[in-house]
Amino acid sequence: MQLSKLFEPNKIGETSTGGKIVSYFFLFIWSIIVIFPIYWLFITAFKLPGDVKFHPTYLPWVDFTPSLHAWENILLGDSEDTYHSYINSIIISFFSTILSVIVGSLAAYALARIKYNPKFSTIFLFVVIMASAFIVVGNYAIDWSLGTILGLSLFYLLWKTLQKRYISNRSKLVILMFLFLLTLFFGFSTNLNLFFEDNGKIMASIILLITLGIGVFFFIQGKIGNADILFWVISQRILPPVVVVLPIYIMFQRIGLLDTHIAMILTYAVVNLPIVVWLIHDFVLTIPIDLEESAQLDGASRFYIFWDIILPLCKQGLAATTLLILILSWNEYLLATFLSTSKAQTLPIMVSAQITQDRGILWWNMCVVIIIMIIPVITMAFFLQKFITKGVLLGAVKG
Amino acid sequence: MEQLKDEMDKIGLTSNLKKLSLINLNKSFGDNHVVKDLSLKVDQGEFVVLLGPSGCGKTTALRMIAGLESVDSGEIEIGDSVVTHQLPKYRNISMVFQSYALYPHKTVGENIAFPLKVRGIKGNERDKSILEAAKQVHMEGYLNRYPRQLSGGQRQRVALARAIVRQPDVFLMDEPLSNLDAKLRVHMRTELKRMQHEMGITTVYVTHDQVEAMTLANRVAIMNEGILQQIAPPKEIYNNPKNVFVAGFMGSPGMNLIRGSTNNSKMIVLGKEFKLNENIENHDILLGIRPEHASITEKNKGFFKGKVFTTEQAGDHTLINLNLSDQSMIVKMPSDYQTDFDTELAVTFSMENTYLFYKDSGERIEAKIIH
Repeated sequence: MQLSKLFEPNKIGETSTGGKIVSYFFLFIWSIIVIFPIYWLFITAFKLPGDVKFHPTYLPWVDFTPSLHAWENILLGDSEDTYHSYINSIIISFFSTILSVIVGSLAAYALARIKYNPKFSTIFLFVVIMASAFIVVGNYAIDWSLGTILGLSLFYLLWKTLQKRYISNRSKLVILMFLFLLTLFFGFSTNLNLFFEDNGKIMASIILLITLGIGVFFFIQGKIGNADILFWVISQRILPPVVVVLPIYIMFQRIGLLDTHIAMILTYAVVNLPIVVWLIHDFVLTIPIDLEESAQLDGASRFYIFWDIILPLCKQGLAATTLLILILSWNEYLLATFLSTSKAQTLPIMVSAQITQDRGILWWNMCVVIIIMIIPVITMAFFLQKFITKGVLLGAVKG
Repeated sequence: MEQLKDEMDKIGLTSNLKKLSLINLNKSFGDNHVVKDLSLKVDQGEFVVLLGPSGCGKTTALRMIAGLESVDSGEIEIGDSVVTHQLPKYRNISMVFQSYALYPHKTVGENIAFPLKVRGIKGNERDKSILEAAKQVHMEGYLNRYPRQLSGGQRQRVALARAIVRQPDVFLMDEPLSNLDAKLRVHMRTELKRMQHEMGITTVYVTHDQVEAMTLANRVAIMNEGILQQIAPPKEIYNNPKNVFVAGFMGSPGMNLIRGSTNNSKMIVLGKEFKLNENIENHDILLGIRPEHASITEKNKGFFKGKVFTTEQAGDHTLINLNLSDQSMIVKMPSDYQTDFDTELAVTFSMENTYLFYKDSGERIEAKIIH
């Protein structure tokens, strides 16, 4: 009798005493589980190597005497390196976040409101031509920006020509046969020691790629819609990053952008783009289309509507997304290990750099780096906590 | 002088009254042919109401005029220019949406200012226009509020102010009153009519409410299943419906339609014989009688015998639902009329106020009953 009363609330809308006891008990246990590593981090940062190595010590001034020796190592001894990584982390996470939020929100808006119906083959042609541009940049010391521009303009010209003109099936076959023969010619020219030497194989692969692109363009009619594009964007996040990290590494190595800010910013922006698109797309869908139609009638352009109506109305979602992406980029480790060595080294790399060959793992130094790394994140989360949860929930409930 | 005129052009002060013409408009969504060969001329300053049941294509027609929906075939003209494929912003049309479509993050003042802001009108001129528009809808005291702080009626007024602030050539309204409660709706209806009269802007108004249509319109255009059924002044629509659909749709309650047949100049309805002034071959027909044109008499006197199904007291009148053998009929009687369930009665009506329709095509038959 008494026991069952314990789990009945006194009033409607209140939690029962028993319920409170149980829930606070579990919350207390969980808090310990969550807080303990952070506590451990803090005390380890103030330990001397001896206090870490021989047996665990738990309480400062009781088990061990706190010392600032690790802090001296990191902030004074290694100051150049620390400062450098800190600035790199700030620059890379800030600019990649800005880039992915701008591009992502525009894409999300467009996917929510404009109906797209591109031909599959157009996209294929684009990919193939950009791949050939990449081969050219990688093999002949051409500047990567020049290669990109060349690739884009070649795609545009080819696409326009192929799209506008009517080409009969016979001429299509002739064109493809010609290109294919050209491929063979260049392919065998190396073996036959003709004029092209090593260049022959490269030329052959480029022409083969373009032949493939044009062939697909000629004979495949399928079209894709908004849902396909959206799924494709999100699918980039389903793929584990470790799968693409090697190709990305080789790509940047080939075009000579390894260990640069731009490579890191671009990679982070692209990796985080799907999250932005996904979240903002949901937010845009909650905005009634009437508002946009009304604005359209009042004379506003698409971009004006996006800027003056859509963005302010998904302010909360935008803020929450930006913070999320900022934190993800700030903490990113895997891509950074591949893409940066010294010049573009970020804080997570510096943390792992405390695992040394000759002196073992410098736990005390590592903890100091981790502390200075998580301080901005904790501060941000602390002040903007309400904002983040509210923003994310708003999108979730309404969407 | 020239400069002044340009200046005035920019803010739309010189916008003259313009007429609106739709010529053979067609629109399909997939296999669904929503608007079929719609032709409609709206005169300068005229108030035309597009009326019809939901899904009849009236909103699609309105959205095509606005430019929010593309046109499959046909033409739209505003004034003397063809705007069929122009972007909405070049048509100088403003529209009031059913949901009002106020920008929730902008104050009332900013909402009204939006069309001016987009056009780059600034400073004093803008403030003056905003205040003027706000005064016209009696909202000048609320300029700093946000839409969420306003009641439904007030939001409606703000939406109206935003629509009139830039003096459009054509004014479109998509069921603007349907989100208001009944009392407010009647009130806003009168204000809307007065406002349109004062400003004299060519207006197309979409509704499914026939009372709204009758009270507001200079002319009512009735649509059904994408086809324009009849366009005429409200009185004409009421007194002279072109077909069964129009007859049944207008009036509350709608016209009674009683099945019968003709044989040359004879018409037989419910076993009763009538004489017509014209010869009509053997045909199944519908005899249309408005509830207000019929009345109830004693059992042995009237044309049709019937039994009371229910009576509905409506304050100023009483509606009697009758069963006439296998058909039914509603008769409007004065409020003091009283009767009981299942009372046996008879119905009489004035013969000049009856309408005949072919049953299969629904078209009106011009013949009249002589006796």
